[in-house]
Amino acid sequence: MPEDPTRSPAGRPGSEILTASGVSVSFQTAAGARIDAVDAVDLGIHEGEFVSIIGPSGCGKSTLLRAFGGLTRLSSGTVTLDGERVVRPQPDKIAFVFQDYTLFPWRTVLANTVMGLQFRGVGRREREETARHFLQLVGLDWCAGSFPAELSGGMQQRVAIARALTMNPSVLLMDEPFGALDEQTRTLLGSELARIVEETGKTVVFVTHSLAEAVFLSDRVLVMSARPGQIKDVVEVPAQRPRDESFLTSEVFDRLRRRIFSSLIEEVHRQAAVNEEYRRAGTSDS
Amino acid sequence: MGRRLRWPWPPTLVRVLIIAAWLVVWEAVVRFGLVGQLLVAPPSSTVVAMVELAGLPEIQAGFVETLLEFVVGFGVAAVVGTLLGFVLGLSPAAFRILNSPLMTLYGTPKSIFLPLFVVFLGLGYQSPAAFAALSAVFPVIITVIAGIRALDQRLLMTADSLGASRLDKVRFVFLPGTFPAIISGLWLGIKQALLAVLLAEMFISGTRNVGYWIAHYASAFQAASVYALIAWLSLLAIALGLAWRRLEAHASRWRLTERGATL
Ligand SMILES: Nc1ncnc2c1ncn2[C@@H]1O[C@H](COP(=O)(O)OP(=O)(O)O)[C@@H](O)[C@H]1O
Ligand SMILES: [Mg+2]
Repeated sequence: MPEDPTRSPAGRPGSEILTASGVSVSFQTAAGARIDAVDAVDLGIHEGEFVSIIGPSGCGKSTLLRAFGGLTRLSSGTVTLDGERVVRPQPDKIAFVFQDYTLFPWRTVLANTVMGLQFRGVGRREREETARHFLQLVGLDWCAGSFPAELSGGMQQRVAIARALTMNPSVLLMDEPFGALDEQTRTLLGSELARIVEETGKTVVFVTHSLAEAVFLSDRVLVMSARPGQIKDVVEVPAQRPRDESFLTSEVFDRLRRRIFSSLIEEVHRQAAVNEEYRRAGTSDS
Repeated sequence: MGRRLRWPWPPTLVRVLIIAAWLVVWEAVVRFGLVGQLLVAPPSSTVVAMVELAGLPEIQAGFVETLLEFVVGFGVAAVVGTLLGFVLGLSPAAFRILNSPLMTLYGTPKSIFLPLFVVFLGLGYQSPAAFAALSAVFPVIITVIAGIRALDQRLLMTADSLGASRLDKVRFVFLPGTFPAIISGLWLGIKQALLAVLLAEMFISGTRNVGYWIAHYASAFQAASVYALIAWLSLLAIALGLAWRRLEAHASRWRLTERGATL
């Protein structure tokens, strides 16, 4: 084990692009209590790396991801991207894909896909051209004129991914992007994401509930502890890319999945105990 | 359990039949002297009076006057109400300061202010217009605030992550996202404004508007003319309502409730 388990070992291609040092985030609840969602997280993510974060529900995964993207005020610590501090959203460098309700329902697929470029001030023709290119990449150029309500959940998420890619970000932050989808669609979109990421060389931080998804997609899987969330465990996935479905049934896959599961389940129980404590204390909390 | 019985006629036809039946009964009741013709006019005389009155220049002028009051009053309420709704919906500070005085005013019966309007605005079209504006503005404010509150936080976070400025968010998220709410709020405003205009005309009428003519014919016991004016007003309101329904459907077509399709 290296001295600092949250730093990836030397020799990985690509330098460190996204760095969190001592990142803590606390919230004030309506009742006035303080919730420490993320506690002193140190983390370095390398260019082109695919990192998954897995942890019990409510442990602070989304909060940590938002902190990476400048969408949440930190209570302490710093996040830096390419050596520059991130204190607000960085739409040219960091793009988000959220779990659901991420498309604007009154805008067509094309109008949704151009939004980032529109906010950036890119002219109509150029932004629509770019949007169509990325819609094609996710296989949805044929429904550019549809409204989100006409699309299945999986298609909506693909549009959200296309929109994120139009911004040409160096880092993609994805918060359970396939969490609301059925198992088959999930697997399909997972492979598609892996292909796109390999083609475009993006750095990805990916929050998920699914062990299989984490192992299949990642170079590293981070297990988060019960709240306040800390990085408890780092698991390397030493499998060649491109990975195909045979990896899903391999022995390495099984071994890694078991290893992550035993680490995770401990925290799930601890988080349940934390929630129970909160309930007893009469503090409203999810 | 048998087969569900199907109504044999289309609903529109049934609707027309019900109205026709009601008109026949009404006509008969008056014709057979069950109520005094002085107070209640039969439909046939009402229709005749509608045609006659529509040809009179002073009645036409009265409708123009009333419409002017309505359009000015509702227009002011629409603009002010939407703006105030946005300010209160978007700024917690403004909400804290303005909400309780506005709600107090909303809860007060507005007709107690009628004499004040006369004092400050005189007997012209301004008084009914101002009274309409005051009555219509609250439902607009309340619906717009509710529309803003109902906007999904996740959409706002998405907009932030895509680099939207505050102005971008108002233009591309808040306005389109609350547009259906604004349209239905404005409809409530239209109804309030119509009512308020007529009420004001009946009580503080200085000009020869529709309210004036209704009062005029009523005091002359010309029931058919009174009914005819009310009928014209009702037709106007119904036409407005139909137009608004279409606008509303157009504004929220992305909800696709009737299509509900998934590809
Ligand atoms: N805006 C907020 N205000 C108050 N509490 C919040 C807020 N966002 C998250 N929390 C709390 O922080 C904790 C972690 O939330 P989150 O990061 O969403 O967890 P996860 O994504 O791991 O399920 C939860 O207890 C949640 O209730
Ligand atoms: Mg979450």
